Formats: sequence, structure tokens, C-alpha cells
Amino acid sequence: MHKESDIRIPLILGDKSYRDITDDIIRPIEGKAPKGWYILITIFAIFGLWGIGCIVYLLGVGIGSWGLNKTVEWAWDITNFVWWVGIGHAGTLISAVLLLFRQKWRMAINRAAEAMTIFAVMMAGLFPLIHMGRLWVGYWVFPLPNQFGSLWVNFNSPLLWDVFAISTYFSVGLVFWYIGLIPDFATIRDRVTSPVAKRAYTVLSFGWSGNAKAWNRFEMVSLVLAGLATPLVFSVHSIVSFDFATSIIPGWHTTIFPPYFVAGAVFSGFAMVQTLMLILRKAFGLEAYLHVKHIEYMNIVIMTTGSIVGVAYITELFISWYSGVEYEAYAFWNRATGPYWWAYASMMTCNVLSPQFFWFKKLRTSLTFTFVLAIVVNTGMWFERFVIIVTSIHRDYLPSAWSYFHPTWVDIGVYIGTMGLFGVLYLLFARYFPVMPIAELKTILKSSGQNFKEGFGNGAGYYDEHGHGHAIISPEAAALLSTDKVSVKAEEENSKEMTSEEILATKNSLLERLGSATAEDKDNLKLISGVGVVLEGKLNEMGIFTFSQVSKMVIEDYNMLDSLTKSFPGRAERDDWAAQALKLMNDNNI
Amino acid sequence: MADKVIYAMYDDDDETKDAAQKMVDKGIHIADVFSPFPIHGIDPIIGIKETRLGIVSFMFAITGTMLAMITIRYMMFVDWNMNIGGKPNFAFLENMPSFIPIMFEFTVLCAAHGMAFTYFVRNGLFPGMPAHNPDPRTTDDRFVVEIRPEDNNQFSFEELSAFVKTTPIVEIEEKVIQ
Amino acid sequence: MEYQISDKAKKVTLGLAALGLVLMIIGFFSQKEYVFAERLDEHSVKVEYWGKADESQIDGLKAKLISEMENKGYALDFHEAHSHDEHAEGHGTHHESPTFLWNIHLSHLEGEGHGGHGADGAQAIVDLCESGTISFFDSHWRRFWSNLLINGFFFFGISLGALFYLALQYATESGWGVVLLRVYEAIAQAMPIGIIVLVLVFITGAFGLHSIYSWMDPANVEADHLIWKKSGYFNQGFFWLRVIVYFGTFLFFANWFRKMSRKEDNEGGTEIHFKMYRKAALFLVLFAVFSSTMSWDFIMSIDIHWYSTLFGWYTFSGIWLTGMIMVIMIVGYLKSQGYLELVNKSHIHDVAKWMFALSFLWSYLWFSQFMLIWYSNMGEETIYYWERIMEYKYLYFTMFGLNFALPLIFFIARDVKRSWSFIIVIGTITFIGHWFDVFMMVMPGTLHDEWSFGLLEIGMFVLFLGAFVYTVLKSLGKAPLMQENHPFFEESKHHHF
Repeated sequence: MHKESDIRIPLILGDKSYRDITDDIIRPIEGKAPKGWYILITIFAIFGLWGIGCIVYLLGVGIGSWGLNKTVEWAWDITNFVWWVGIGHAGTLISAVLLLFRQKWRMAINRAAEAMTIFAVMMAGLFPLIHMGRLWVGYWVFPLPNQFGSLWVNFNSPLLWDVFAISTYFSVGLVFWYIGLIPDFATIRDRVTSPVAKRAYTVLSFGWSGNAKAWNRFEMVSLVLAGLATPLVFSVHSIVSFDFATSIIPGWHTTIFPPYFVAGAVFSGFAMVQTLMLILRKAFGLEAYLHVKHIEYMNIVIMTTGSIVGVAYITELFISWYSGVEYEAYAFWNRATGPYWWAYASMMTCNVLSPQFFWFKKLRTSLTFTFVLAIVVNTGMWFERFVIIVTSIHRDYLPSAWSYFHPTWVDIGVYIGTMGLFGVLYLLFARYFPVMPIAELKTILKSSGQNFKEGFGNGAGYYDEHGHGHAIISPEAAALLSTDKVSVKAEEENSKEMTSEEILATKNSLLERLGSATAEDKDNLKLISGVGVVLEGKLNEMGIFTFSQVSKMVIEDYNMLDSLTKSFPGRAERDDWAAQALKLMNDNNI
Repeated sequence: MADKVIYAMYDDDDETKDAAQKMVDKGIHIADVFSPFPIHGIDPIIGIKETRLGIVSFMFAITGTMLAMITIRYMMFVDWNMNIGGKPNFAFLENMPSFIPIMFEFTVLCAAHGMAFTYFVRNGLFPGMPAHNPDPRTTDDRFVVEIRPEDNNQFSFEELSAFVKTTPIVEIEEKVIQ
Repeated sequence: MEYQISDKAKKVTLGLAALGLVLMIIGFFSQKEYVFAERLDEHSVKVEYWGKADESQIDGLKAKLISEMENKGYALDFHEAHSHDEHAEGHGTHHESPTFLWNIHLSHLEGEGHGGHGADGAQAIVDLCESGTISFFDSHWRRFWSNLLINGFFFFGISLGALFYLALQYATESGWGVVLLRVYEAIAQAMPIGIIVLVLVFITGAFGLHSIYSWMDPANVEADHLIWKKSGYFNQGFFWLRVIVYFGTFLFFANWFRKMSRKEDNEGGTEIHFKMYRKAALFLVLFAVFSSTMSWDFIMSIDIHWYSTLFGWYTFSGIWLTGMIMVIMIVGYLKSQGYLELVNKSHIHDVAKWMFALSFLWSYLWFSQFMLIWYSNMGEETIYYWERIMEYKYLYFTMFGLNFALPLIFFIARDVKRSWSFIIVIGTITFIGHWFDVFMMVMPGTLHDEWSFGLLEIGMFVLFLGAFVYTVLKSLGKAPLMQENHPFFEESKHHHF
């Protein structure tokens, strides 16, 4: 299975070995935390504490401290709940759906995204719990015998479906995440030296040894859990949508809600992953594993799901007109032109229009733009839920009860508090847990590592043996590789063993024999089997531009070339570049 | 003799696989392979059967569906009938669409946790369990093939060790175990 | 490796089509227009009819009824309440009063005694009417047109599903399925069959030959406030514009992909691939909009008062699934003939996985739509399911049950997804099941309770199936089965897991 098309861009850049992967991912855990980490966690902790304070206050004085009123009895709380649950959809989607689709690029992000999922669902769960009022009897949401003080729960109610859906999602997500973490904890356990850390990771790694049977079971469990998690992801947000689709206003509903909520959740989840990963890769120096192509893939997902959401918005609008039912039409007319027009306008702009920028390759490969847009998308998705909930219910059946919602400081405080708590949890995760799946990354090194695909460094021997790739790299891949720092760094490392005088001398003697040429009469050296973009660049650097120069090469020249490029020992000779070049030269003349 | 074990260490997954194939061809029984990540295609070579965890999960899934149905039926129809929002609880089948979501969720819940639990039990994974990989580097970038002379009585210990050395090993360890 | 349709395949597919044609023609004459009978008491029945029929046809029907009942031992006494001669002269409308209304009184024939097995004569008349024994020939051919729409849409959908998946393969840069792409292309090439039939149905509808689309009749637009409100969208001009745009786009892309992949065969390089990658993304955008609007235009507008925002996506999932089933069936056939040796078990496993996943998706969307409408219980929406459940109950739920449960139960196992016999059996059943899904989308809106299932349905389905498969195999022969210059060809060749 180490076969991958040459036009695919390597997922792991630079010259990596298995050891390098371990080192790179564990480095942040082994080292001391940077100052920034302490600053950030303090800030988030302050926000988190503030949020907890607000919750305590709310429990003391009651739900009235929120801005709710008789008409708008659901507002920020449920909006925030759905917002967080939505964000919590990307993680499982990435690790489950993309696993089933065998998308290898998921491996750069799945661990961190799953952590995000779990923390986000925790934050989401807080809101309904607080909203139920008596937090200390929160367990009444589960089916308990009447002696506990409540009747049996009502299985007809979408809110109860939610209880089951969210708790199933949370616990299954947690198990899925942890099963994947165990081998990586074992890796850390076998490396760390401090006794406290050793003990901690020994406990966390559950005694994982990595024997063949365990791996066999591991793969099956991952696959089956992915298979279970995929419909689970769909069901959870569908069920969340049922909360609104069945019951937010009696007499109004729309059937497209379930799939469109799922698309919206994936949309916002990926945006959050972008926000977090862009920071993480920079802070931890993981650019080699999560590079522009990964970002681009995620942006394409954002663009696609954003467009699906857009189609759904427009479908709803159209059908409300098409139905010919006044109430149906009013519900939407009021959204767009009523007192909450600003929320509707923000939702449309952020969710439908803004992702369309990703049609331009320049924008979807720009890190800054991606970062900004990801935040815009998440803002838009918050507004979407706000529109669905508050705008739908603020016009009651009795015009005398029509009302408007104003958030109080407690509303805002709890929301900001959840962000703080989320941040704290996420920072702890980033500090003590491997942020990328070490074991899984190792499985794709040979098929998707740049060195193995192009045959240099650690991949050189492998390249020869398995006759991999001919380094015909697509123009976009070439552009990416030539601009990416990592690949440049790898090249620098390769050539630094020779002093510059030596290089110059070798180069001159080489050119003397082959004859000089300029960039103007450049031939497409990539046509020679064995020469790729990287190597062509190197040849050009040396002053070799034409087939006629290559055709004059003899064994000594090949060796000289090897000592200069360091990347393809023995390759030129075996592929007989000279003969190839001669043939190509003749073809050109005809 | 029976207490001895050979650990042959490699630094590449493909080489490990090829070496294992060579040993198996020679008739050597391989006790186990330790690796930092799953080596694709090694299971059939060293004679590991496909795990049946998938079936376990399916069984748990069916259990989950049944449990959910029984619970809902008992609570909504047998123990305490109610008419809520025009959805009277007198016939399970007629209210079925309402119950599908929970039946589904409970199915997934049971399947996932049942299988995960089985997985932990079968692999002996619990918090604080001691690891038994022969070398700490096998969770990093080393691959170890474990051969027990007791499984390979047709060869002498020296023969085994000599044959292992013909494969591209990076280290070999002969250890006495309790 | 070239494929040429074999003589045997030619004979079988065209033979099927011919057989279907014969069955269809026989079935054509079984189209009925029912009369409505209501049992008043043991001895009296009310029979009425609102359609068009001339004096001799009515007399013929009456004579038939009398003779049928004579056999059962009853004599009939007709009291005609009123006949259409007295009414509505000059208006030619049958909206206000029935064409005929008989109050029939039953009496036992001499010497027959009290119908030995306690039979109820009044009920017998009702049964005769409901079973269609006593009925007119449907001069509007409603069943014929409905079937044409069903099959046209179903087979058009198969091609469209294949085209969609082809575009998806390019847009997502999937590697594994390259060895199968020619099959998708060939299936998409058969799209004109569906298109021609659909256009035929629309044109005849526009000329008033049938009333499947009630909004096409100006009289209805005037009379029906809800249709009138929709006339900004549903008017002949805009409708035809949309039809041309849909079909034009789909045909253009089907041919363009074909042309480009052939060019890639000859020229190689990666440039064409990236061009297709970009165009595929464009197609998906257009498809995202058109697949919804198209299903509203062609199908949802049959039940013109009813609406559901999910409908487009639901229809789309069915289209996609039937496309995949057709793909795996054709692949199975080709493999059995010794072609496609590069297609291994892993490819089959993957396609079967798609069948599994798409069945699940389809069921999920079916359930979402059904449950939400059931739960909110609003008359203007529940009417859709009311009709389906009241008149088609067993067929409807069997259709859903099979389409959902069969793939779910069997395809969950790994070995089943790799076993041809399972794939063929489950594929066939779900293929037919999804034909019934389209049947259920159309028939309750056009024939209501006067539907039946017989030679006409079977014949036309077989006719289309034969013609469709013939076209697919024929166009498979026009290009090599493998795209050897596809940049992911090697990846696909070594696809194994």
C-alpha cells in the first residue's frame, strides 16, 4: 500500500524518519512550556472563572438573570449550546468519516480536532443543564424510576433525544479519542525520564506494548468505531435540529433541517479546527506535518459545506414563497426584514458569501486569510442559531406578546466563560498530550513523506528499491514545495557538508566538460526519467540547462553530481541520463 | 533452554516484514512482533487471525436496540401511559417514529462501549498495567521480532540465533525470562 | 483493453427490450378509469362516475355489471338519479355533477336462495368496482404517462448519478476508483434515453394530453389560488427554460468528461487531469442547485400543493444510489466476461461500501422527512403521506423496509461486501426497491387510489432496462476500458486493503 500517485503533494515534508516524527510531536511535551503558554492559560482561566462565577450567581438568583422573557424563552443559552455542539462535530467527522474515506491528510489534525470536539461538547452540555434550573437534579434527564422525584422521561420529546444523542456522542467520542491516544502515550512513557511523568504516562498508556495482535485489534476497533461514529455524527446534529424542526413554534417547521444542520456543524467545526491548528502548528513548529496543502483541504471542506448551507438557506426561502402559506412566508420575511434583520444579514454574509472566497486558490492557501475567515465563519454560525431560535420565537401568536431579546451581563459572562474553560482545557491538552497521532503518522511516512516520494535523505534507498515515483510533480505541488520553508531547509542541510569553495570547484570542472549554457536555451529536463522539479532546480543552479549538456555526462560526472546534490546517489547512472538526454535532444530536432 | 527468548530488532517495517517472511518460510515460529505502528500485511505472515471484535460490536449493537425498545415500551406504555402533545402512548408501533432516535443512539452507545470494553479486556489494557514490550524503543522507531526456542524445538538455540542474524537486524538480544 | 458488446449481450438486452415492449403494449390496454361505488346497506349501492364516457360505453358497463351480478345470483334494479344530459350542457365541465349516478337496488334471483356463503351483494358490487372489473378504459392513458415519467426519471437518474459520482471522483482527487471510471462514463452516456422520455412527458403535458402536472393547465391556475401563487415559477416559459438548462448542462458535462478522458488516453500528461479537476468542481456547484430544483420541477410539482424543503436532497440520494448499483452490476457483468481484470476485490468492496453508505443516507433522509412531517402533523404536509399510507400502505413500507434493512443488515459485514452473489442479490432487490421509490413519488399524485401494478409497469420497466443496458454496453465499446494515462491509474491498480 505504499503506492501513491506522483501528482499528490507529500503530506509530510522534509527529510523525516520515524524517530523524527516521535521527536517532533513529543518535543512540546518534553520541553518546558513557553511563556506564552502560561500567559494564555492565565487569561483563559480568568475568563473561565468569571464564567463559573456567572453560573453560580445564576443558580443563586434564578434564570431571570438572563435576558429571557415570556415570549423569548430560549435565547443565548440554546444558541450557545448548538454553537458548541456544532463546533464539536468536526473532530469525529475528521477521524471517522475521513478515515472511512482513507483521506490521509486527516492525520495531521484528527487528534487535536477530537480533543476540540470533546471539550466543545462539554461546554455545550453546560447550557441545557443550567437552563433546566436546578442543576443539582440534572440527572433527572435520564430515565429514572418515579421514586427519584420525577416521572419517567418522555421519549416522545426531541429534548430527551438530545440528552441521549449528546451523551452518546460525548462518551463515544471520548473512547474513540482515548483508544487512539494509548499507543502514543506508550511512546511518551518509553521516552520521558522524569519519574513523575513516567508514572503518569504509564497510567495513561494502560500498559500498551504494541504487539502484533494488539495492533490488529486496534485497527479493527478504529474502523468499527469510525463506522459507528459516522452515523452518530449525522444523528447528533440531526437530533439537535429536531429540537427546532419539531417544536420551536407550533405550526411551523421545515424538513431540510437535519441534513443542513449537519453540514452547518461540519462547516463551523472545520473553521474552529483552522483557528486552533493555525496557532498550534506555528507554536509547536509542526509545519512539516500540517502544511499549506492540509489547510487548503480544510478550506475546501469549509467552502463545500458553506455552499451546502447556502443552498439550504435559499431552499428554505424559496419554499416559504412556493408553499403559498402566509405563515410560512412570514417566518422568513420576518427573519430578513424584521427587527432581527441584522442577525440574518450577518448570517448570510458570514456563512454563504464569505466561504466563496475560497474558490480562489490564492486566498485558500493564504494562512492569514484562512485564519480571519475561520473566525468570520464561526461568528456567522453563531448568528445562524440565533436567527433560528430567537427570530423564530420573538413573534408570538399574540401580537401583544411580541418582544425583543436583550442579553444581560450574565448571558454574556456565561458565554465568554465557556470560551475560557474551553481554552484552558485545550491548552492543557496541547501541553501534555501528543497533538498529532504519532503512530498513525508513521504509517503514512513511506507513502506520503516527501523524502520517500522524491527519493532523498532517509527515503533514498527506499526510492531505489521500490521504484517509486518519477517525481513528475504537478505545477501546484512544485509551487508549494518551492515556497515551503521546510523543503528548502532540507535542501540546505543536504548541501552544507561541502565548503563553498569545494562546491564551486566541482561545479566549474563539471561545466568545463559539459559545456556551458544559459537559462535562455533551457530544455525541460524533467522529461528525463528520474529528474523532478527539485532536481531540475539543482541542475539549473549548477549551470546545467540543456539536454546537450546532460548527454555528455559520463560516470565521473555522475559521481560529481551526486556529491553536489547529495540526494540521488547512483540514480543518474542507473537511469542513464546521458542516453535519455541524447534521445530527447534528437526528438527535439525532428 | 525453555526460558530463553530471542529478540531481533529491525529499524524498518518493510525489512521486519521480509525478515519475518524469511523466518516463517524456514519454519520458525514467531511468537510476537512489537512495533511502533501497525505493520500492514504482517498478520497473515506470523499467523495472526483476523480479530472478531467486529462481531462483538454487532452483538452489542443488537443488544442495545433490544434494550432500548424494551425500556421505552415499559416506561411509556406499560408503567405509565400518557398523552403528550397529541402523541398518545397507547401503541408502540404508532409512535414508533418518535422512538427511532433514541433506539439508534442507544444502539451506537452499546456497540461502541461494548466493543471498547472488550478491546481493553482482550488486550489487557487498564490504567497502570505494566507494559511488556521488550525494548522502550519499540514504541519509537524500532521493530522487534520475538522468537521463543520452546516454540521451535526442531532448531537448536544457536541455529535460531544464527538464522536470525542473516536477516537485516540492527540488534539482537538473547534473554532469559522467568 | 478494448471491449465490444458481444452478440449474446446484444441479443439479451435487445430481446429484453422487445419483450418489455410486447408486455407494455398488452398492458397498455389494461388502463382503467374507475367508477366509484359506495355501499348504502345490504341491498343498495350507489355507483357514480365523474369522467367522460358516451352513452354506449355507459350502457356497456351497465350490461357488464348486470351479467356479473347475475352470476352471483342477484338481480339489479337501477334508479338513475341524474344523467349528464340534463346538466351542464354547453360547459362541457364535469366538475359540478357526476356523469352518471346509479342507485342500485339488489334482489335475489329466483331459486338461488340466500347466497349460500352469506355473501353480501352490495359489497360484491363495491368489490367489482374497486378491483376494476367494472370500469372504463382510461382514454387519458394516465397510467401510461405516469409510467413513462417514472421510468424516464428513474433511468435518467441512474445516468445522472453516475455522472455526479464521476465528477466527484475528479473533484476530490480520488485515486482508488480510476479503473472503474470508464463504466461511470458509459452509464452517463446513456442519459439521452431518460431525457428524451422526460421531454416527451413534458411536451405532451404542455399540450394537455395528460394532467400529471396540473399547473400546466391554465384552467387550474385560474381556479386554484395556491397554483396561481406559484405561477411565477411554474409557468410554461420558465419551466421550459429550466428544462433546457438542466438537460443542456448535464449532457454537456457527460460528453465533455468523455471527450477529455479520451484525450488524456492519447496525450497523457497531467494538464488534462487538472482541467477536469476544475471543471468537475464547477459541475458539482451546478448540480447542487439543479438536483434540487429539478426534483421540484419534475416530481414535487405533481403534488402541486405539497412542499418539503428536504425533497430535493432526498431524491438526489436515491439517484446517486441507483447510479452506484448500476455501476456495480455492469462491473460484475464485465468481470464475468473476463474484462476489467485490474478491478480487484478491494474496488468491489469500496463500491459496495458506497451502496451501503448511500442506502443509509437515503433512509436517513426518508426518515427525516417522514418523521418531521408526522411529528408536526400539519394538514397541508401530512396529505402527502396520508395518500401513500392509505392507498399504498404495504407497498410503501415494504419498499422503505427493504431499501433500508437489506443493505444495512448484509453489507455491514466485510465478507459480504466482497461476495458477488450477495452484491447481485441485494443490488437487484434494492434497484427494484428504488424503482418503487420513484413509483411512490409519482403514482399517488397522478392515479391516487386508482393505481395498479401489472403488465404495463413490468413491461415498460423491462423495455427501459434492456434499452438502457444495451446503450451502456454499446458505449463501453467505444473506448478502452482502462484510462492508462490517468495520473492516479497506478494508485488504483495497486488499490488493496
